[in-house]
Amino acid sequence: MIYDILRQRRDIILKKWIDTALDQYFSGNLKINDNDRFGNPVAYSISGGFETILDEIVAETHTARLDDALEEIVKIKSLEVEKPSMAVDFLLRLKTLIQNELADSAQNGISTGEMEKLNNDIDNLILSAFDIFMKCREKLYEIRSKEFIKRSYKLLERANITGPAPRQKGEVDDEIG
Amino acid sequence: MNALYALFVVILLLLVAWIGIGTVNLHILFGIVLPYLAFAIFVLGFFYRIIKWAGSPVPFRIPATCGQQKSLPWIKNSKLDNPHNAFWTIIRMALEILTFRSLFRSTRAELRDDQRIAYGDTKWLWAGALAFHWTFLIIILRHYRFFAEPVPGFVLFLQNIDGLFQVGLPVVYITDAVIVLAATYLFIRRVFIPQVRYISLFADYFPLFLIGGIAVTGILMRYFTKVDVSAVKELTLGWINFNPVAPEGIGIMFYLHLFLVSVLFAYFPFSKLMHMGGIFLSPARNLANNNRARRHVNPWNYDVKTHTYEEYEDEFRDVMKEAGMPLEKE
Amino acid sequence: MSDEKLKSDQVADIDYNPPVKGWMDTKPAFRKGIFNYPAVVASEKYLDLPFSRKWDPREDDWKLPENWKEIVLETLKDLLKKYRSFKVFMDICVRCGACADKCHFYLGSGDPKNMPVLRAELLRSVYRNDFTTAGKLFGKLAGARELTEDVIKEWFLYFYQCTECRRCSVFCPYGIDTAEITMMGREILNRLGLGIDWIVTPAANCFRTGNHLGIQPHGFKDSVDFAVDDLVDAIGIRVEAPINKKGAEVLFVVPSADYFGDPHYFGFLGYLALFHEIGLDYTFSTFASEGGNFGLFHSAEMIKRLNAKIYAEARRLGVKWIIGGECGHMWRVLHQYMDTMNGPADFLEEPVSPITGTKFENARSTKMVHVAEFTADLIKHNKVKLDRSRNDHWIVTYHDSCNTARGMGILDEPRYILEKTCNYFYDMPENTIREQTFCCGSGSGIGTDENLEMRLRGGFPRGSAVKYVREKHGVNLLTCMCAIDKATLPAVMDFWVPGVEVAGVHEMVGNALVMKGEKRSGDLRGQPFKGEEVKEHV
Repeated sequence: MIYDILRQRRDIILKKWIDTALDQYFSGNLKINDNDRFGNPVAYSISGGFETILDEIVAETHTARLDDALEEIVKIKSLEVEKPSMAVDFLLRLKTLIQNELADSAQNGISTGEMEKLNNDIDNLILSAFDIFMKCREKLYEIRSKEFIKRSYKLLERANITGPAPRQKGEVDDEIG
Repeated sequence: MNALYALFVVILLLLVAWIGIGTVNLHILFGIVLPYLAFAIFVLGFFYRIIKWAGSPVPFRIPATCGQQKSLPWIKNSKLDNPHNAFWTIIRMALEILTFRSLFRSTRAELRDDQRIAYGDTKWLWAGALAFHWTFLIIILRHYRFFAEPVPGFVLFLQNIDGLFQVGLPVVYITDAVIVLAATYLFIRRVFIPQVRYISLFADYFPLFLIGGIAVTGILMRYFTKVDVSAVKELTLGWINFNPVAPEGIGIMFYLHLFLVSVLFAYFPFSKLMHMGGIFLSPARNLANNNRARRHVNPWNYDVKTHTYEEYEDEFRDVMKEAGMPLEKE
Repeated sequence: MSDEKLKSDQVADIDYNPPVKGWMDTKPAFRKGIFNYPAVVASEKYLDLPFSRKWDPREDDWKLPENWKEIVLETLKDLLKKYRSFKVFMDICVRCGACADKCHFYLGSGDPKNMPVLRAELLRSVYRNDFTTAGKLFGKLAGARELTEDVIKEWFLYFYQCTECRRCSVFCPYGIDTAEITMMGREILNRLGLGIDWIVTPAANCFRTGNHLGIQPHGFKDSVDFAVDDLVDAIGIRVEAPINKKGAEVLFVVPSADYFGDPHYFGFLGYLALFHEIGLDYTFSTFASEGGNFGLFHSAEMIKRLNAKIYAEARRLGVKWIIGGECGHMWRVLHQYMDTMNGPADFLEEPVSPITGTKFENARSTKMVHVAEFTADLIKHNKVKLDRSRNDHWIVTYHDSCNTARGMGILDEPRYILEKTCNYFYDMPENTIREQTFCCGSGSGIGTDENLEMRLRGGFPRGSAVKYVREKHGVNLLTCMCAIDKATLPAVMDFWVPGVEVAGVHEMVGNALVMKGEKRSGDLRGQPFKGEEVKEHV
């Protein structure tokens, strides 16, 4: 029942969801309308990913495609925001959007069981998104250390042959951050 | 907001001319003094700006190359996009100026994930800009008929082509319709594409409204309110013979048109419209990519503090010696 | 929005069309991961740079010199007088927006101030305010704004969020070159002592020791000797790699990462093997042990100071001409600046390949030939024997480096080499390669650790194009001819397209090269050739 309504309103929900995400992503309500895969990869990933996620929710499935889509979106977010809460909020938005869409159909007898299941599904996605976010941040640290090694990998193999520019006496150069 | 200001200013300008002619009868001012003044500002300002630009040297030859360089004889050089001599640079510039090639470039082949080739907004930008500029040019050339007696052949030719469809009486010029549409399109995209709206300044809307106003007043007087064309020609010929008279009864629409044109001319040198001259001077485009074949001279090239080999060897002589490397001084 | 705390009631109340604050009213925000650390004092002092001091971009007080405003305006005036490009670009933009979605940083970050047009407006607004009649008369209506400390902070953030890749310039109807504008912006910042460390310290090292890492002459020799040893293991031949050899025919200058970075190093082995096989009479120089030039990211004067050593060494060593290794910004300098700044190189001879007799007429004034031009010519004349199947474990695509694509146009030489050395070569989609190539996101001195998040965002368009060919053709190797690409694309690949490695074009040459007396079972990385690994198991 609830899923029938969602299937009917899938296009509206998807459009609103993508629009809000892009509005939020491109600070100051900016978005590039055109979502060419190479010309505008962020919009492409977000709209494609959202479509996959919504379709799987509506179809009550959970395939590898869903995981991939979720990962792609959270990956982008992990570079954008520092806090996981900000990285997963797009799923909360979906929840709200769906609730709003269902609000006027409330009288049509939506079973609480179905509603609960839907909410659970989305909640589980939020949990997965948290995990992916942490994985991405870890990946960033891994990349940082790998890069450090790679950049001077032959030098590290045989140390003691580099010398920094001569320092003034008594001067300490500690990096900030 | 900027758009509203710009619209407001253009309306204000129209009111000024309306009151000046309609109620205060300042025909001499609006018909002779202001046009002369505007023209003088335009010519002097335009050349002043060009001379000022040209006054700064081009220290480095920095063309942006958009194709294969000329290197080995068997590798095909993209002469147009990466010209290696003056001739091809001129062709590159000419195509840029006449066909807006770079704007067109951004519309080329955007591969969608379903393997279709798609074109984005920029295609429309290219088409709109091209239509706008070309019709503008044709319209200006058509106006030459007011400044020459007899009317030269090329002007008549343009008029004939432009009015090819023979619709209505007087014949409707295609360019009149196109320029209004193109200006409208350029305005609409400025307002409706979020990024473009975000970057748009008052100075971007104002010329659009001004030119739009000129086009609309021109169209109104040609097709609707009608003006005394022979009186107009008397005025325009008077200007160029430096014997100007401001005949009565031309009709107010003409003065509105003329005043906006005067404002445009006077505004031109102070505005972004100077891109008309600047495009010729863009060092990223108007230079040949033959840097390694022909030396480019920088007029202000000055000596800088360098680290010489001698200083270097002095610092590292011991370690170099130890490593068995050849030295200048033992 | 993204920096604000999320409340549940906010979520419920989504505003589809929030009002837009004008860009002039939006202040820059310095968040970790998207800006670079300031230069260390010692490096700045070594180069005699003004106003060296310790400061932190995240603090309110940047300890600007007292007369900073005066300095900025004086510098602007000076630059406008010196550069027609700058003057014209300040005046003629019509804000058509054609460039907006051409910048990898805009596409990857969505920050409107990363639209090339707006990046330039950051400077233009000040220019209008203080240098144009319209700006003086009409202020904000004419797009002018007051020069404040916030403006300087904004410049620091966004002129170090531009990789000077020139992609936007390709699409601009007037060719307005944001690289040029960014360079001017950085000149101004540097005169206020607002340099970043990953530019100033390599420049200082390079000034002193001839290379970015500050490797001293014996260290350089060690590195090369080590490479020769490694090559014995890989090909079974001990090649000669002369250093500071007077009277050699050719001086060979590479970016310094070539002899210590991964994967640069394998391409370096490729050069050594190739030059040995054809018997080229060449030498390295310890003093000119770096072709790369971090001065390009600092100021015109710094370019010249660092670049001077190349011609100086060519003269001292008495070579006839020069070959330059694979590098992007190095070649922007060599191609577009070197001859003008430190030429004329009339003490050198017009380059002629001693192997094929080809005259490199395109380099007859500068006397410096790109190694890919040199190698392509060798291959064309069948002077080297190549076995493409030795690269069969790689499915290869090619990333054009911004500087060599849009500041030079060396597009088909590397592709020719790759086609002759690899059986599986597939280009990425048309609007992501050649003159439309996407940047690695780390060029122009911002490829730092602290800036990683921003870099990866900038690298997203490139990553997405690689992902496409990976899905379509199974690509597992991204080749390129740029030291910065080789240093930073591995991170981009690792994050966006795991499973794709990065390599130089001459690594492919080194692998495919069939040498006299060679003993090989694997490639220069020590990996077995395809087919060989089966034998090993048997």
